Amino acid sequence: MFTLLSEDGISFQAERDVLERSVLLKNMLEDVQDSSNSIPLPNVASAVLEKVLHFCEHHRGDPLPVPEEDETRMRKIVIEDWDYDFISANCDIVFEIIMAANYLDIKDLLDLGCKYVASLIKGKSTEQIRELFHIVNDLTPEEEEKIKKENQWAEAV
Amino acid sequence: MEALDTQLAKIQAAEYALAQKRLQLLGTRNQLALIHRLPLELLAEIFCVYCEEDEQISSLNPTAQLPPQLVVCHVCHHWRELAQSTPRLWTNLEIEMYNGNYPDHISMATKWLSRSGSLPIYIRFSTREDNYTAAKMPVPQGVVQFSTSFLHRCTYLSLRLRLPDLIDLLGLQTIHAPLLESVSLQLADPVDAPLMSTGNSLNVGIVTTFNDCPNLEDVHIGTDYHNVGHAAVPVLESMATIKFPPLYELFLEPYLAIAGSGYHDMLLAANPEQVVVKLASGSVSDESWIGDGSIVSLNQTTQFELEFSNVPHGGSWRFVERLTLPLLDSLRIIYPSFDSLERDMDWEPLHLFPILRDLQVRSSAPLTTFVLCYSSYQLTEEILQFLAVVPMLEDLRLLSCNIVVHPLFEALVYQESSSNALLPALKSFVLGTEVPFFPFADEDTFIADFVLSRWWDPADDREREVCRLCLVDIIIYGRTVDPTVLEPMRICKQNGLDLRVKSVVDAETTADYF
Repeated sequence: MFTLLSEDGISFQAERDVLERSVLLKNMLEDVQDSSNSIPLPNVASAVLEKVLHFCEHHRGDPLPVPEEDETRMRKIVIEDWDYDFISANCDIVFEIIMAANYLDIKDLLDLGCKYVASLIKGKSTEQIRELFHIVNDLTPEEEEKIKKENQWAEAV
Repeated sequence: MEALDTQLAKIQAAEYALAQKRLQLLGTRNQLALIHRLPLELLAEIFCVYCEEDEQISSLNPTAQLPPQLVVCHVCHHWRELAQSTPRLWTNLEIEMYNGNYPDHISMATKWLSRSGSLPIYIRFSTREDNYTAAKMPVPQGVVQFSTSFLHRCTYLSLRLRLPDLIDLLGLQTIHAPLLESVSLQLADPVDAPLMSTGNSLNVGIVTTFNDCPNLEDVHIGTDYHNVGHAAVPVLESMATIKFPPLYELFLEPYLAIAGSGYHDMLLAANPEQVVVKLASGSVSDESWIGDGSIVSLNQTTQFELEFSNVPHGGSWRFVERLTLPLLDSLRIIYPSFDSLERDMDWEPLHLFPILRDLQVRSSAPLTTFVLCYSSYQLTEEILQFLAVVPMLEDLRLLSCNIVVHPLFEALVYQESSSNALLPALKSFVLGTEVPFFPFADEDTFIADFVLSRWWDPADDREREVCRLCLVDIIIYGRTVDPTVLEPMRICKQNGLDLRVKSVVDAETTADYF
């Protein structure tokens, strides 16, 4: 068992194969012989770390995702049931989870977070997206003019 | 007056400054949005996933909302800048034009693809697929120039072009597209028919080579325009010879430079594993298409599909008899329409089947799959003709046979054969109509009578013939099924055969019956 220390000083214990879902932690564990020393994670709050470990625990033993052969290739938003339940239950901290996954280099969790946010945007109008993310329209008049042309073009095709 | 102007200018300047300040504050406020805590690369990744998923992503559909690339660009200044500087978002350009006269198509499409940086791109440029109004929607001028300027990065190119544009493209002579994997060229606009009929204004004799495309695998050349006897054919036949490197798949439709000796040269050079050739009236209308009459040997081809649409009598078998396909595994022959009987001629496949047998003899690998699709409006006489042809199938040693017209199913499976082994190696039999089947009422009655009188007789043991099959697929689309037609299937099921009902529109009838 290894101990992780969140940025707000809370300790979490997990086994090696769970932690090795994270490339960052996997690399760190290779240098750590003594599991009695806790590993500080100054960028991850305890509330988020708990969720991240829950995800890693569920997926322990799964094959690690391999990098896409062609990163320019289109991918589909396909979210497994458990993953969908997990991420939607934590939608209030989804951005923190994405950032933690990015920091800890947990590719499948990062993908899941991005896909979930993308699925929130899907099918929504510009105005609905602004409402969803509490964004206001700060486009310049020049940009508005270009947008008008883009809209006309989209109507013509 | 001067004082007032000065005051107005000051107000305008103040207005402008306030507007700028307002935008600045709005931007600052936006920075506080939770989603903007994400690093730029992660937000860009979310944009990519969103654009990748949405089906209208790159296919700009007039009935749908904006394409997602533009949706994200319209949210706020930050998103717009980020999206426009994310090349992956702009690698797919699929345009199905609704209003071909819109002046900015090309410049907007150019901006779109220019944002893709140096990444490989995918281009599909077409007009709405509506044969009745296509003439009103010419593709915009400059499509070819636009496309060719991006050819060096193109992996997929699909262009639906008017004839002059197509000639411009073929006039490039050497297509330099090192990344190109798939190309589809479609002649779109029947409004060019008068031009084609003159022949004089065309650049006859173009030789266009795709040999500078080392990754090219699939080629599809065709037209939307299927009317028969059009003046386009002879001109196009002499218009261009198109040379391809070895391909995986070659799909050729009529009316487009596929006849004449150049056609066979093209097939030989491409030597594809999979070939689809659609021939129509004109493609085999004169002797020139035979070239020097030599046998065309395609030594990589495993799958060959031929469609004969209103070919002159003899066209189909004259075409097949010149082929040698040593690795051929699957042959599919389609007659979407055929009227030789009306012209009091022999039924075309009567000549075709013996040639198929010869074709198989010339092949080192056995032809294992044979598919004959036929017009959904076949005549009674044609069905009876087919009955005469069926014994010829015995020589083909087929493992799989698919006769995609349901009255013929009966003809094939049931034969009063003393050998008790009509198709001894047959492991799979597919019954169905691939195209919606809308028989006339009297035809429907005929089919039912046919089945009842010749197939289904409880006292008869002919059902054993069916039981020899180990797999039966039923595919019935778009028609109300007369329950009696399903009787053979019931027998199959009763005898423990693996019965798969792939698609039955009239599900209730079928369910009740079984």
